[in-house]
Amino acid sequence: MSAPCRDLKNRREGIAAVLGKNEMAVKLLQIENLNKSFGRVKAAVDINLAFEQGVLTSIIGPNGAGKSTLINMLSGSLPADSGRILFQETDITHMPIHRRVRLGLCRSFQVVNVFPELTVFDNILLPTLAASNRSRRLFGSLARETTANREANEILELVGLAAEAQTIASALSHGDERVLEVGIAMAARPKLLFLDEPTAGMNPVERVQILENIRRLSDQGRTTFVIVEHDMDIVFSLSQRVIVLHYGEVIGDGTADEIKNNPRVREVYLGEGVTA
Amino acid sequence: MQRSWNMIITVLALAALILIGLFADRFTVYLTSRVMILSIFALGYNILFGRTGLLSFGHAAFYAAGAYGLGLFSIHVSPHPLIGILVGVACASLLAAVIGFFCVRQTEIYFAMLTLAFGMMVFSLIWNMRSVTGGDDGLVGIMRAPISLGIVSIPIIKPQYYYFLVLCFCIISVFLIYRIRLSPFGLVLAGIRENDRRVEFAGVSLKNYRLGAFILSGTFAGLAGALGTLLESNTSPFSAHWSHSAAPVLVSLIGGIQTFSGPLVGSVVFIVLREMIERFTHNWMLWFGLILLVIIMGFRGGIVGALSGFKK
Amino acid sequence: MDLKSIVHVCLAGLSTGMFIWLVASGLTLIFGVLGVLNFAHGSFYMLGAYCCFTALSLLADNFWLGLLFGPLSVCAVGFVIERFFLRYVYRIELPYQLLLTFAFVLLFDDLVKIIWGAGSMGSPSVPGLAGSVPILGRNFPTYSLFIIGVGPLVALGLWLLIEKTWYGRIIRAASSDREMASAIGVNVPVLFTAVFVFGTWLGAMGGGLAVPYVGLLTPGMGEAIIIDAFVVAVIGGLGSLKGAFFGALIIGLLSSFGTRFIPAFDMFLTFILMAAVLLWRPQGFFGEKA
Repeated sequence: MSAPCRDLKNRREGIAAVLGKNEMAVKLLQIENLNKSFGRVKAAVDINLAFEQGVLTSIIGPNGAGKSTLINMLSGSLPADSGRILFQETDITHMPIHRRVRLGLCRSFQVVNVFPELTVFDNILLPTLAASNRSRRLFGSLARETTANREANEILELVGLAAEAQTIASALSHGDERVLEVGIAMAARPKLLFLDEPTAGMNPVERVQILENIRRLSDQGRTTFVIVEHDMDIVFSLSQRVIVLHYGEVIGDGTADEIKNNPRVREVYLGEGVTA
Repeated sequence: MQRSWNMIITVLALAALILIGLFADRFTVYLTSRVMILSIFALGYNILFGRTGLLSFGHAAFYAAGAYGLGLFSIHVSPHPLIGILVGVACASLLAAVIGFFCVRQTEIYFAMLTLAFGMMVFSLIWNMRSVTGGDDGLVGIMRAPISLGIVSIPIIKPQYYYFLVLCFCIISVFLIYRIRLSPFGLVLAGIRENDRRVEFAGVSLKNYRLGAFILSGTFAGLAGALGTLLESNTSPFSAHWSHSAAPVLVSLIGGIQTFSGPLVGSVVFIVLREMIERFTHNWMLWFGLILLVIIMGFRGGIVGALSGFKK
Repeated sequence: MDLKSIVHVCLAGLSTGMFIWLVASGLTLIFGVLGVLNFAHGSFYMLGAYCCFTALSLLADNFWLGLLFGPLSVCAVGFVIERFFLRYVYRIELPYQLLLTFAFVLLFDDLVKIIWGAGSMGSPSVPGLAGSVPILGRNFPTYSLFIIGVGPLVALGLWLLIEKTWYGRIIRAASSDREMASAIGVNVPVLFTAVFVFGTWLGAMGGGLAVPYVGLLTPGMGEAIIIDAFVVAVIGGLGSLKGAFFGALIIGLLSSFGTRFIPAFDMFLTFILMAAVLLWRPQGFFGEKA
């Protein structure tokens, strides 16, 4: 192992110690030697990461650092050139998207990606049904799917869209749409949820709200959040762990404080005039 | 408010259909039978097209499967109509499963071309296997034998009686498809129509649901084919030709693709208009071409779409 | 099976193939540049044949004059279709584009019946190309040889146009990236209209050349040829002219040998090949991976 890698490995173990978790911590996701190039552009270079249950993580990095590529590979929309992805010990490297979702690995999108002409409620109901294997029912009535309906309502309460349940998604305000976007991702009850810039385009009030929701859900423990973000306030106030990507490589991995003081990271990223 | 409106219209329509069956002249009865059969074809087709957005040029093959399935069964095994219909529907379903398995692997234009290829394969098989299918003559002399249910035997040889059988199947089909639309499966299909990328991320296997929609629509096409055969007492290989696949699309477009009642309205309009046009001129295709043009250029919601636009 | 028969079956296949190529070339060009699969292309073929027929009967039965003026009149039709209808549906979903072109198929099928009558018309023979030529002891129609010659000529002409001329470069640019082409000053709407009209002309020329070839002109001839053209376009690779040329050769030969040995199933074989290509190599033999 090269020096930086050993460094990172030590850091990972450091985090575990800091958070008081023992070595038997549940490793939700393990990424081994992941590589991806687009022609000459290296979007992912030898990425080795592990995500543990309950650790709210942020992934940061300048534009083009490979954050979206990484999420695309993990969620299944982009095949990796080489490497392995293990979700709870299962090799999901070549698994199709919907099967990863069924296992509990979900993502939300940076660009709003909802079901425009369905109601907000139906937007949430769909993944809820799929998650509980009820979506195959041909002749059941939607109204009678009590469990699914209840769960959908819970999610709506959780993200604060309960009042808009019967509104058509395309009629929502942009901020509400983004909230719905996250809601859809959560509706599948994932164990590990990647949020791709969830607060982009939100006003400060909405931003606070969604972050509160994420923090609350994270504390509940059912879902582990990994957030791709640009806003440093969010990153440092919310995350227990911060991963820094640069040109496809992991150049920093540790607690918020550790990253703030990491010279390489400062040089590459934080030096670019960010809000303190 | 909307729901009671729908109830009223449904009851009126049903009443009208029953009255036609009881009192109308032979020709009107025949025409309405054809409308109902076309409705079944179009409603089923719209499960695929209206909901998942996949345009298939091969569904005529399933219509033909229902037609020839029933025809061959009727001629060689037993003329019992209900079993014949069942056989026809089963054939169509099976064929749809096999063909659909291959077709849903591709999307958009490749899907359309694949369905065209398979549909024409079926057509050429029917055309060439003269000894079995009668080639370009089709199967003839398919009787409408009485439905024997143990002690009771219901004759359907008279067009009027057969009309009510068709009406029954039409009502059943409408009911089933309506239920499907409101089911979890229907919601997923709606989701696919809205955002086929996102459904995968909601845990839905796009391929499987497309295949499901494909098979369902093929099954109803088969039912329409079987019923159509009993109506006409013969089959034609052209029922499998790709140009026949255009009929349910046309009908759905005229009526309104996204709506449930669109195909029903469209079927009525299509057949009635065609009859009216054919009284004056042979060139009904010209007029339908023009209608289709107008719809695509400006009224893609179809008749029902335009009407609900007015209501708003 | 002796050499003579093989050669004749090959020649028959070549002439069928080249004939389909002539029609498919326009279809492929239009799809490659505009991204529209034009169902009505078969109608252009049919209109080309009928217009050519009328033109030559008005012009002292001169086939070559008919071939010149007939297809040109079809270009006007193509222009109207693209400029006033197709242009507005580029941005909406694919099924509607297909259905729009299908609407025109319906229209033209009946229009032809109205203008020229529903019956079939005999096709005249062309002096100088009539009759047959003995090849290896058996007669082969002269006109078919002519078609075998014309096909590659058209292919060469198109290749020169696309690869070597300035127009060709613009066409290539616009087909690979519409927005960029527009950004560097190419008038994309006008270009699209021009390409569509040119494609229409190619189809109509195919129809014109069909007049002495098919024996009978019927209102159904458009539908018969469009399926063959689709198959060829798919197998060669949608949008690839080179693919269409070789695809047509393959289909022509396959069809010819198929008809000779397994007459009942030659249509079936063609469609199996089409399905196979779509499933395992949807970009066709010569297309690029999407």
